[in-house]
Amino acid sequence: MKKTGLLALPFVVGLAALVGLPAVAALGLAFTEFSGVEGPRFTGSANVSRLVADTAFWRSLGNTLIYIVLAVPLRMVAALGAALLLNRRSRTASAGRPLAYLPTVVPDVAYALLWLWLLNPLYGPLAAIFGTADLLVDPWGARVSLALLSVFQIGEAFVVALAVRRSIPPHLYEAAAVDGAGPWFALSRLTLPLMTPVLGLLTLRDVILSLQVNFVPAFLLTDGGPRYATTYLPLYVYRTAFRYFRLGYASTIALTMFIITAVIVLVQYRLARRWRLTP
Amino acid sequence: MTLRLRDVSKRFQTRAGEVKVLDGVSLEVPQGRMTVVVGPSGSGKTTLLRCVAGLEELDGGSVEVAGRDVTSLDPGERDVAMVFQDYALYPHLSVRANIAFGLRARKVARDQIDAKVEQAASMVGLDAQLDRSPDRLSGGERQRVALARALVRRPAAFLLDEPLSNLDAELRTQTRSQIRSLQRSLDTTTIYVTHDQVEAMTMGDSVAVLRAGRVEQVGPPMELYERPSTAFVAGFLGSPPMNLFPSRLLGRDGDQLCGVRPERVDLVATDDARLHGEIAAVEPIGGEVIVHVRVGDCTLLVRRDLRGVGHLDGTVGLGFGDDDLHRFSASSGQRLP
Repeated sequence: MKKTGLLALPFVVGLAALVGLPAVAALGLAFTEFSGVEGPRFTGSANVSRLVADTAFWRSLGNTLIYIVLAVPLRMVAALGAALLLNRRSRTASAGRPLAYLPTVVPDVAYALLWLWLLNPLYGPLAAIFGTADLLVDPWGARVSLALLSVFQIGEAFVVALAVRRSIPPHLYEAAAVDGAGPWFALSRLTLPLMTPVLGLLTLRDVILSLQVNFVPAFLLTDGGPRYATTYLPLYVYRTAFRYFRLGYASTIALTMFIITAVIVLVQYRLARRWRLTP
Repeated sequence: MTLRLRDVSKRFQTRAGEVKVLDGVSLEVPQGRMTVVVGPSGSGKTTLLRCVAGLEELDGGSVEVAGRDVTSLDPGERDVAMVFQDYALYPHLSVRANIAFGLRARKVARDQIDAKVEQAASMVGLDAQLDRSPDRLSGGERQRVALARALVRRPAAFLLDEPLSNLDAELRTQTRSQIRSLQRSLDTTTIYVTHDQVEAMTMGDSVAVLRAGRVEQVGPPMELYERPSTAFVAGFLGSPPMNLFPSRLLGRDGDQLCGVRPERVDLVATDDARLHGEIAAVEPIGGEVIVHVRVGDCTLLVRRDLRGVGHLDGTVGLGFGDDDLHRFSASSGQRLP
């Protein structure tokens, strides 16, 4: 037991130093004015009042929610679709499984730069093929583009969905086939209901993830534009903290993001208790 | 609605090469009859059933259900229902929805579904469990849900794959007679697969013994017991199985195997005995006793009433009539006249 604890020590120390301490510091800073040059000055709930009246915050929150609404269903459908298609035991499916995971291991910055080239209105191949030169110039074009490019990075959800699909005993499908169920009936009455508990958890996980993962593409591809259409909460926190040096107020926004995430985790916990994790 | 298999063959490709699981199996189950397919593990029983259900594609031969060639049809189009060894109940559906699944798949009207489901549930005594989840049922109840799911569609044939193997001994006996009476009352043609020869003997109108993908013998249970056509059938049916020994033990020449059922062997005075041997073990099994007698390099079993047997020890004589003696070719295993 003691040895096990020692093995976990490096991780625990790293977690405390890199996550725990900054989190505690951010909690304290959320109620101060702090530029990083002078020491923090306690301002009570002033940052909260400012947040409530801050149209840029509400716009960023709205953008984030739009991103979630656009990206999460697309990513879940893509992960589920890939899992169902690549579940078969064939050479094509065997080759397809690593391909489905591959974009997930590409570093975020490289992935964003790749899309920057693909979507470039002057010399990007997509613009040349589809003539969509103004895709990143139009607010909705940019929002949809950022949601679409996230659809390829579904590795973890794909692997989990594939594992759940494979955990459904084959004899249930045989029983359904003898019962006269066609592929669509088997999918809608057997596969999807049996996968639903885990798909529900995956969706909630993806919602939490979508609150955070949009920083790199929004920063590198659109810089939050056009007309702030892709200024999501993480990018807004970054700008507030490191462009305008309002570290106290940035901490208040980060704290708000944490509360939103906590609410989603609570929902996730409730759902996990209600549904069995395994079909 | 007769079920007919003609020259059915099935091969599987394995890493070790091609394995012939079914090798020219022909079988006919007349309307309303139950044929029990019995055989040791790996003999191809379940594969045979899966071929009839359409879950395996045949490599040769044909399957006919009610005069219709269904060989190339999908499982759902064959008008058969199957009860799987582990029941294959849909875990996310209630008992009611499990039973109704096949009717829903076939787009039967909702009011008809309700009536049929309730009727099927009542036939197997599940009326009170209709709204429960399968994981809250006992093994016997789950087995009855699987039965109800099969019979609710009133298919042309039932295919039962070792449906009692997961039940305890008491429930197995009870369910055995329940399945038999249901099958008779519904008058549905049935193939019942088991490795349990007691089930085979008690349930089937006829029994087909399968060995290495081939039918060794088909016929009424007692015919197989009394006149096994091969040494394998003789040795497979019966508990304990028939004693098989080389004919030289009886002082006969030739390439022959002799067989005698343990219950047809008497322990007699050594002067009147056809064989002599040393008692190797004595196993009381309730009201009877099984005596292991070492004769030459063979061990023969004797099954007698416990009360008629005194203290057993040392050398004993074994007696049996000529009518009780079966003879088989030692090389082919075929019955000799």
